[in-house]
Amino acid sequence: MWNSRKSVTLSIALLYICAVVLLTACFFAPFVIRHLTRADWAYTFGLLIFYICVGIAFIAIVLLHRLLHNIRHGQVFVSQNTCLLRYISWCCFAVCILTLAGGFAFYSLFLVCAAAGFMGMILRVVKNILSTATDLKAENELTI
Amino acid sequence: MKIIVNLDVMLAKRKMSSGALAEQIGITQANLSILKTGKAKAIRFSTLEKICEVLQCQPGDILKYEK
Repeated sequence: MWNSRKSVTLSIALLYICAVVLLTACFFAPFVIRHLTRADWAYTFGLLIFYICVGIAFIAIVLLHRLLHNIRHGQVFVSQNTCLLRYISWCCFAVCILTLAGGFAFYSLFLVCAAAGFMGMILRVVKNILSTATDLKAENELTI
Repeated sequence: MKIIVNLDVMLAKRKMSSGALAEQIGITQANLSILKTGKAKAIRFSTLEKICEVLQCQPGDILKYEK
């Protein structure tokens, strides 16, 4: 029977798959970027942007793992989760800014920039909702 | 301004323990302790009604407003 615990386990599994895909991408990135451009400056710039973005993505994955770990242990409406969501949203905005700069070398990165920025905004809204829910829960727990 | 909970005073007047009151009104001792120590943010009318019923008092005997 499908339940919330299995759903969280599936999310964690997807997170691990995502981490493996990122590691694989790190290995193939130089070949792919070389295929996309012949200019040395664009190659170096693209590679630099890519590896910084991968580093940020790994930070986001670690934060998401901690968030899912908290959810699995029944700690959903806690202030720590609000902080984690805030950090993840900042990761999205960091990728947004980096890909905005990278977009001038590789135009397709503007799409990634828009997607990361939009994701960051969604996460901030979810963070605000969670923050309010945490306050409401605390108030409800102190209603006798 | 602050709402003071005078539950301790009423319990002493009725010579009743916190545990006995918690049991009779159907809340945990931990929640009663939150109420007594003034950490509670709100009190349900149903809880207040039960406290008044058990302690044979008025809500004003339990809650007091201070500036």
